[in-house]
Amino acid sequence: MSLTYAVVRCHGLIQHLLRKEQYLSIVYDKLSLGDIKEYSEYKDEYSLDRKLEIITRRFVERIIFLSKIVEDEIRDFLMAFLDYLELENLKVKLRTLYGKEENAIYYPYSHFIDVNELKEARTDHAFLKLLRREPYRMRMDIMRRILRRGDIALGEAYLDACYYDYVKRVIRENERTLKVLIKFLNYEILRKLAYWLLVLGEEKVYEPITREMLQGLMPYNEEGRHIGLERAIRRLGIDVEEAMKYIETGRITDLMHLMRERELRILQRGARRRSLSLVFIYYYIQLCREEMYNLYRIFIGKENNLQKEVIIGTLITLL
Amino acid sequence: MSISSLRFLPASRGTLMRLRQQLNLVVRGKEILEMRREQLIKELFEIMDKLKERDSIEHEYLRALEEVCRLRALRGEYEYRSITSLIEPPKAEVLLISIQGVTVPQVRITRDPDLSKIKDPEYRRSFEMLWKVLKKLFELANLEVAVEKLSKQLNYINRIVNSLEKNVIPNLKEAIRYVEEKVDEEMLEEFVRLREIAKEV
Repeated sequence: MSLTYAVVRCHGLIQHLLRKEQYLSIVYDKLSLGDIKEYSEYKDEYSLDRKLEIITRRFVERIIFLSKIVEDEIRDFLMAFLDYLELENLKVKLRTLYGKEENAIYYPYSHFIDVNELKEARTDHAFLKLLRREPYRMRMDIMRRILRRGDIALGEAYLDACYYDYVKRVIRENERTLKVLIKFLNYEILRKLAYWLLVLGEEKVYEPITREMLQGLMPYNEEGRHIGLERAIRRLGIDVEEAMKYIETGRITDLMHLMRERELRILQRGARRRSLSLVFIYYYIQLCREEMYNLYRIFIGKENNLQKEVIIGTLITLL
Repeated sequence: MSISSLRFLPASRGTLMRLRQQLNLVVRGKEILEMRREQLIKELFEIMDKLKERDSIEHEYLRALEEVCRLRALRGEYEYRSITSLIEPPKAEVLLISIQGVTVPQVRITRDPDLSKIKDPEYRRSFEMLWKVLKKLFELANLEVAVEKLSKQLNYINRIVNSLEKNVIPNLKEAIRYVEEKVDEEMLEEFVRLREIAKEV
């Protein structure tokens, strides 16, 4: 089907996404998520795990629905976007290999690696066997070295890099159609890069060996460049001094939250300017993802008796 | 010998001596218990001073917990749970120690949680902060248990001292007075009888 049709559908589908007032009503218990047609399966008495599962499934269904009405090249990109959940599952597995399996929960999503197979993988060897699968193209020698050292953080960074490599590959293969998204994808990659620069340190990220490993964390077509933390922050239009305050007080999550919000605002402006292009579809899927995260924040916050004002402070609302 | 049976004792000089010895012993015992009571009260006050920090520690704990919960909400349950699975849990044991001769169970942390596998600085900072406050809470709990055990002991000593003061000592004094009177009467009777016998002889 044509791109225009999909974009027009997205204009309609966006109306079904939760608005700020609805989030507030859920936080203040004036509205149950189950009262919203999109989440009719949800019940207040369900466990947190079940609630999160319903929310995630809704997100997955939305993207899969959209992927059915777009052209092949856009479908590949949408699936790559969704595969982020699979990557997160790989990260969970990597951590539990060095921790305890019983605590872990996995996103209810599989594409290339079956989530049940992943849960069953109890050894490094079984995990590596799963990673061999396409399209992540992970280098086994690197992953084996990481697992032998038990360097979980570097392992996670490598998984992120492989994922963005995969997304960039999908774009490269269909550059004619997807090139409008490069700018916006780069903001997301820059946010990830900033995170790993903060966790691993700039020296480690740009060591010759790790630099090669983490090429995927460099923005599209900028793979050979050296992008420092300040530059990554500045490119998202965030005041470096303000960001440094977050870093000095160790509030990395708040900084990432700010970067994510900025990234979405830029995307929102782009989608308004090019409301009949692929950018709008990308804006819609990002909003779907953010709705999922917002609902996570609300229900995790409620489960842990966080103050309502604190929960509201964690939400990113664009609608 | 129960206090109530004192009245049925044979009124003799031997009994009188035994009763006086008993009274001395009880009075000395009471003095020693009073001294011990004072020591326990002093110890209790010292511990209570430390317990005044409870409010600020609880406040600190709530703040640390809120920070961890906020992080949990922002990072998501999927990440949070797998990250926490990397923590090697702490180890603690319960020891019995003696405070002023009172046996008090105390929790001793033998190993701090191992956070070395967590590289994310914010997670580490939040968990370290929470553990620091939890350790203070353990100390506080130890002090509270000590207060409870010392208070029980104090209560017991109070009951004994009161019983000695209000019951045992007055009864012993009364018994001594009674036996003294009886002994005096018997002495007088004996004296009169001897005088009558001497007159007849």
